[in-house]
Amino acid sequence: MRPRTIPPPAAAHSVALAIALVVALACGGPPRATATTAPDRAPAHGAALAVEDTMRTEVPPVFVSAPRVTLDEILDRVARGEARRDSLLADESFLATVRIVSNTGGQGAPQLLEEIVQQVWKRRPRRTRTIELRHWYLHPPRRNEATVGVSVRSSDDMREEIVNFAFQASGRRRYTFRIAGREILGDHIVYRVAFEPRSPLDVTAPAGTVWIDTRDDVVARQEIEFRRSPIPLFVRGIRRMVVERRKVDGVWVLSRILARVDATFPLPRYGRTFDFGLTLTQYAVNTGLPDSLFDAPAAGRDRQEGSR
Amino acid sequence: MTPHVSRVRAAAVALLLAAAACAPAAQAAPASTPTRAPAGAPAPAPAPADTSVDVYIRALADTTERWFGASAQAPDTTGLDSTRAWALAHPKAEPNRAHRLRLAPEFDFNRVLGPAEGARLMLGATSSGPGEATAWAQHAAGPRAWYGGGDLQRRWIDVERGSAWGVRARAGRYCETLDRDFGDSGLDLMRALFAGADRQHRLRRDGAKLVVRRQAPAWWLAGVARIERETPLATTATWYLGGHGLLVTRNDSALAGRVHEASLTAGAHLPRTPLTVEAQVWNAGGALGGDLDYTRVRATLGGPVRLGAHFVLAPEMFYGRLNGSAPPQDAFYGGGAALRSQAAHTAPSAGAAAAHADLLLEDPLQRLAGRKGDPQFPIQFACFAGASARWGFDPVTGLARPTARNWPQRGAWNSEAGVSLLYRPGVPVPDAYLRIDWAFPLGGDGRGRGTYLSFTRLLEFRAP
Repeated sequence: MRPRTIPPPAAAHSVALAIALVVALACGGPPRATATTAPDRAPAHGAALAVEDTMRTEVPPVFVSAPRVTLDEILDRVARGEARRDSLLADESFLATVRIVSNTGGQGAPQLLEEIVQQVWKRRPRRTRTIELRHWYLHPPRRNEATVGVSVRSSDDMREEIVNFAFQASGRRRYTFRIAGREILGDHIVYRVAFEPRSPLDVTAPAGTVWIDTRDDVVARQEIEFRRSPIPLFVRGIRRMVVERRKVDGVWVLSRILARVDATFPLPRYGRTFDFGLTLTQYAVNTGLPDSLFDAPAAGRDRQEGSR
Repeated sequence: MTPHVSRVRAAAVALLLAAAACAPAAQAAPASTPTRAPAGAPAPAPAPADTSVDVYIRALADTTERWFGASAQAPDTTGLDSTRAWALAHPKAEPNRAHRLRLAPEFDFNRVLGPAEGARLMLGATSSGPGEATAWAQHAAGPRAWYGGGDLQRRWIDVERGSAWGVRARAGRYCETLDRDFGDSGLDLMRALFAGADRQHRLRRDGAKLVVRRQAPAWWLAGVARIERETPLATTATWYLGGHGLLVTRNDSALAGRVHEASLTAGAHLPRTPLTVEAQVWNAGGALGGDLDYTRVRATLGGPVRLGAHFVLAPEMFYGRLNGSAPPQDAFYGGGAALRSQAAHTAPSAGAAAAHADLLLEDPLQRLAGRKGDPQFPIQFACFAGASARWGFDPVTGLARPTARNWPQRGAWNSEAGVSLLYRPGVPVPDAYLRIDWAFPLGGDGRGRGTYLSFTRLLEFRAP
């Protein structure tokens, strides 16, 4: 049986009551303030209320008729929801922008060091094409200069594992989960589920929190936390990492990955604290991308065109 | 973004949130005081789509955007359309990565090969098409010999079930260690090159090997068949980057012969526990043919257990037994992870059993000292205890010899306890620790207390 969610009117009612209560409390301030300003009645330390005085209000009972489901069931639904999301995508195209910004530790002004903009097309099964549209450096590296470089490669599927790795069948064994919070938004329930590696010695697996929209049973947002640096020799810590999704034509898609990294030593060109940002924009999904887009052109033809 | 624009955006978000909060209240009214539509009135329009989740997620995204600032800004798209149009009209030859030949340098160093330089060519990808093909060749300066070979790997991954099948076939000439249970080629290379402290003994294997592996979230199974000629090797290089004088100069001889071997590995995560169990059986000779005849069995059990908020207990157990002829390349080597006060990769035997546990303080010592934030070099503290026994060896030569015993005598056990300071650099192995151990032998077997420097994982008993 498909569990029902909490009926919206009841939830809305309680929200309205809560708002009314807050407004009433907020409005309750000025008259008292007025009283304190009246010189003949106000005591030296302002108005006083008896300890025994209690504010009374009546809140009508809210009956939750929705059946309860276990966290395991929610996790199963997310795994199925993510698979369903993937199956809804026949193709997608987007503009991927990678930005490296240095000086983000709070001292001095942040400085954009490098920006890579790529147009990416993907189509099922496993077809992908990427064109680099811009690669900008603040300080272009000299030839043979040893630098820390950024290389961006798009995987050839649309599963977005960076969003749902903890909910895949292999991830479920690796992590423990708990409900960290819940938001009732209209007729949606958004659960915040925290996860952490089951093994305390698993240094490569991060902990984190995901926001799950239980209407679609997909991950809508994720905050990743590395309690210990995966490579302490180079990375002192990852201060914050956020993975965001948004809806495009009814499908949740990856929209942004942001991370602030503290290096153990100042890295050449990047400094001690820098941000990594990947922003995906100009999405188009299920537009029927043609075969010709993915057919790798012959090298000879390219050279001939160039020679003309 | 200017402050004005961000204020306008914040105000817009606030308005949207207020609208979202009020919208359900407005919907609630008809529910609490139902009204009937007048007869003959047109059917009500469908309710607009509920966008409150989008607004909520957008509000969180805006908060994130403010926190990250410039890093989160959308790109300037000026000129991108024309660049894209030009790129599509003038397509570059972008070969499919799966069909692109990749070249990588290959380097090894140990006292048997000396410096060995070469290259590796790779073609394809392990999880698509016919798989990944690799060919490599390396010239060892010590023995002035070529080593090399090729392998083909293919994996079929079922992401939804979290399972995979894998097949790997290899053929060629390889230099490998006599200790089949413990060791990491990357760490051995570092020890040999930078410290002259490589204790592994090596042999040469020429032939072919086939591995089939099945992996599921909770268990795994692997079968291996190999036909290889095994040849002993001698030391050819007695130097390292820091000078001469290696910790171990001699290279123990392997027993020469052709090996026809089949092996099976099965492992599982024990349900509702953090423990992992693994069992392996190797069989050579008999109906399989070949010059060497043996049956080798090993079993391990271990896993990390969290104790409260600050401690991790990492216990593990090991049992190994070699029946039939006892060639050095199939014997069990004690020491190291099993017993820190005994040198690793020494003392071969036909039977070995060990139990070891580390109690690790998760918090770095710097944090205990009151320093906030992530320390630059997080140093951790641990204490450990272990016991190890070996049987089935010649007390004169020290080499393994056949035995009928399946369990050591009471007096064969050696044990120790100690404390350690650990630092995990994260490279080249993510979970390996550079550790200083102060080990105190328990019992009067002649071992003295000592200080040991090593670079090892906390749980080492599982098959490499």
